[in-house]
Amino acid sequence: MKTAKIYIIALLFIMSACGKSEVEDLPINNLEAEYINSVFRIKSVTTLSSYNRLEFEIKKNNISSWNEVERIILKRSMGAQSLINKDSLGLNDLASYPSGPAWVVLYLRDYDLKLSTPSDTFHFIVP
Amino acid sequence: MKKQFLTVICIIFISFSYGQNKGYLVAYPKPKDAIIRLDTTKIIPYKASQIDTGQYILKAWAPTYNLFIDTISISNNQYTHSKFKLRHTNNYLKYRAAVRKQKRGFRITSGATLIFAGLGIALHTKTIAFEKDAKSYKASYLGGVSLNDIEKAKADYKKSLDDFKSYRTYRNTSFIAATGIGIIGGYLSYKYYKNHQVEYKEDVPQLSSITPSFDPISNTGTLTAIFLIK
Repeated sequence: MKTAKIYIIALLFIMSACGKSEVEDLPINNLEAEYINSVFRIKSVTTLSSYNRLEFEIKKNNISSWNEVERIILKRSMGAQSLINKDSLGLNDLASYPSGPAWVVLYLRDYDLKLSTPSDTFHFIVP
Repeated sequence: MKKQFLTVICIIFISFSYGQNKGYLVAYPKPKDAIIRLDTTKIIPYKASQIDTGQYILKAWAPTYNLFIDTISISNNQYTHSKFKLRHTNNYLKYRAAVRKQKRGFRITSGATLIFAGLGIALHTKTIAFEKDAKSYKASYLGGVSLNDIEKAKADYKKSLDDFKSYRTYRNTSFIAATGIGIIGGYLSYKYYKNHQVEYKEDVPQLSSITPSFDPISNTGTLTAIFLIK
């Protein structure tokens, strides 16, 4: 009987130890296509004498892979693109856009030079 | 003259007595504690016994065994080695079979429990491996920047998670089965064991033996005796 008791206690002990294994739900990576716009925000577009100053914001705290990001890429409607340091104090872009409708798209690039999903195109009018 | 005659007779008698041819017998019985007698002389197993030369009947017996009988020849100054194995009595063999039958439930229960417990442990190992994989893919997903990396890690995570959940269910089922079989089977086997008690009655001892022993701690002596009935 003693052996049987030890036997059953050992089994119950193993079972209780096994019950602890659990995988938590997968949190959202905001760089997925459906959430990407939640991390980029165009704050303002200012027209200077011959330049346009575009200020934007990236919600770093919402990006779980921020440490993997090497650069921010801003693609402009006139074809040129800008590589912006992710640690810049003010995230803005100075460029000369032709008058009329214009747009910009934001990307992130990792150290393997792979690009994230682009943000929605932000349209604006240059006077 | 008479004195001289008596002296000669004494010398002849002494030389006859001490000049008797002797040999040695070493018996190797199985079981080792078998009682051995050479005609009426008790022989200690595994030890050389000095015996007068001649032909003897060797008998060996132990509880639960049949009487073993053999003819032994002791030659002058020669060692005779006798190695033999006693056979269990039919009565004892039947008793052993009955005991095996009585305990069969325990054997089946413990075997089935061990199989399910072993299966459970194997499935647990797989479960842990899938859990680790899922955690690794989760880290890749959260650390992904490009859409391809993110989607691949997410798909891998989901597959590992599904595998993890399936194997966790199989594992838990195996452990529950092992415990259930252990408890229910153990209880039923115990009931059967209690209700089917078997008893062994020793056959009539074939040879006698008296074995003294002394316990120096309690200063008590014990005398274990098996008596010859025949």
